[in-house]
Amino acid sequence: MAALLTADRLVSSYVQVDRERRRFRVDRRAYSDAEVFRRERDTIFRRCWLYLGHGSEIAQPGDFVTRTIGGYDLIFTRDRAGATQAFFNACAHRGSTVCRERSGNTRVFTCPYHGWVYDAGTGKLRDQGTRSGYPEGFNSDGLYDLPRVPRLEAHRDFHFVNFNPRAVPLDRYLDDAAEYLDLVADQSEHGLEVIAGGQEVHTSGNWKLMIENSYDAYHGPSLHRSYFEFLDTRVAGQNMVATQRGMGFGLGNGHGAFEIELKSGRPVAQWIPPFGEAARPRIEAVKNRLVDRLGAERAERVAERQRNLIVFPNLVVNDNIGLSVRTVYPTAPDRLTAYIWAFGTREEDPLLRKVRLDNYLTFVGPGGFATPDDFEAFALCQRGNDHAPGGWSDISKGMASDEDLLRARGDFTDEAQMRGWWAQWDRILGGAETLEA
Amino acid sequence: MPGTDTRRDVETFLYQEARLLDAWRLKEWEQLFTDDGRYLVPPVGIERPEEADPARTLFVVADDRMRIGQRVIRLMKPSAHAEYPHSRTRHLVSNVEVLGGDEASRIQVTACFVVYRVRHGEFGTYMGQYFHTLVRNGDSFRIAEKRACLDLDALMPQGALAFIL
Repeated sequence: MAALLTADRLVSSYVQVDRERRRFRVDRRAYSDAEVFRRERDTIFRRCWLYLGHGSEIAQPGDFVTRTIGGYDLIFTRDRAGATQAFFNACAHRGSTVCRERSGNTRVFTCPYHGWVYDAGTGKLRDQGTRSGYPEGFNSDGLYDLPRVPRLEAHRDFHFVNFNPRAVPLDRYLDDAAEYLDLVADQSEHGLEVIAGGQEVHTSGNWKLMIENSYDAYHGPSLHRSYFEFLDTRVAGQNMVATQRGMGFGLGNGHGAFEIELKSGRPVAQWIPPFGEAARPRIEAVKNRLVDRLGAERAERVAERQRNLIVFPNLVVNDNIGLSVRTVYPTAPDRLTAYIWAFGTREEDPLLRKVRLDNYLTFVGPGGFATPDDFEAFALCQRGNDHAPGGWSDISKGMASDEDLLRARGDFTDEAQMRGWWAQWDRILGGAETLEA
Repeated sequence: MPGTDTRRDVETFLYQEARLLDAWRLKEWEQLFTDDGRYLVPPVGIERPEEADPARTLFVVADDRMRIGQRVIRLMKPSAHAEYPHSRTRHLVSNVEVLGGDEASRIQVTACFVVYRVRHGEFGTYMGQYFHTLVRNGDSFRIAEKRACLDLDALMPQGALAFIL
């Protein structure tokens, strides 16, 4: 693990730092080369902890969801004892996809090809569809059980996998990002839950463009002008852009966040007039319960501040007008897939759930008033990258000449949090950081 | 059950709506809605999207009347980057059925749609089923609710859904 990252030279040739002139630049081939795409798969997505899902998605024993994580098809399931498990969704016999549903509840997974049957909770091979042709004890060493993902660990019910058996423990990996996940998880004494209607989107652009965008506050007033104009109409008489203030941080290991104050309303727990008078006492009650449980100071931070967090490499937690969690994966050098979930608090008042979803939809998501314009920016950047020679992207805003790149700080509209991400990307891709214990 | 005259009137109305959308005459499209009208796009890839409730499920679009108006204002600005320049679309509407309701006032109708869209050389096909709740307005209708259920299992290729289905 890195101590201070104050080096003048970085590891790979894709990222350059010039401390004297306070410049931090990324070679745009990092966004378009097939070689980088391949190396990211073999390093970033094989060494880092990757978000698999939230415990609420598989609340009951036998519940499962299937999803593609870092290029691998996985099954995330809860066994009969209530523990979470992660398996590769590939039959130990010939490799066929075993489970074809996106979600459900089952006791066994049965391969459609030759009928191999696996216990859904343990992955143990129960039956090969026939007794002929196999010796006694054929699977006595478990070689033919459903293959298990090497590592599965959780922080506050956010479950992560790692494909490297020697990886550092999750909590050490999360570093200071754990504190930000805690601020999110602290919203309710009952915990959080994923709201039905998760979104999967495929769009143009290298996956890192969406990562950068997710905690880039600089682009808000320009790219999202039409959204802020709408917001000004909604919250009458306020210039919302002007009310923002806050800080951006590198959180170690490439994680980063910015945290701001902005009166755009939060179901936990900041009332604004568009939520309606009926919601007002209920949101105040939510706030009061926070104060009772967390103390006034922390309750204030949980309720009133907004935060955009990235857990390196690709988990985005946007705790702002709603609670949006997404992961982003490359499907080609110039194409990305994003999974987007809206979270709410468990046992949330139905009116507040409605307010939450309503508030969320104005900005976020493929049909919102802002997200589509972000997608347009990815496509434009990708096009510019691919159709202009020798370009470098600049991520210098707010850079101090002596800053520790992994823990830089700055105004929230600066790019300190992004430099930490890129510094870690550079170290892992270049082989200087293995993230092993 | 309502008769063929009603269905013919509904078809005429839906074709007119499609024509306004393809011509980006969104101010006129917006006027088709009642004062409490809603425009909904349920999540893709779920069972029975026609029954999903935006108060409990994350929709792609769940606009009340105010937000329909704001959506139109936004889409007509150059700063709505995802649709500037505007995409070209063609809304095809077929399999129109009157599902029920009171012919004289409020009826539920359904229709199948395919929207072809092209922008910057990228083509997209969006197929699905409409569920409109229509209110009689002389010899035409106004829209109390328009629900466009996509038959996709993920949003691709452009990812976003900034234009109107």
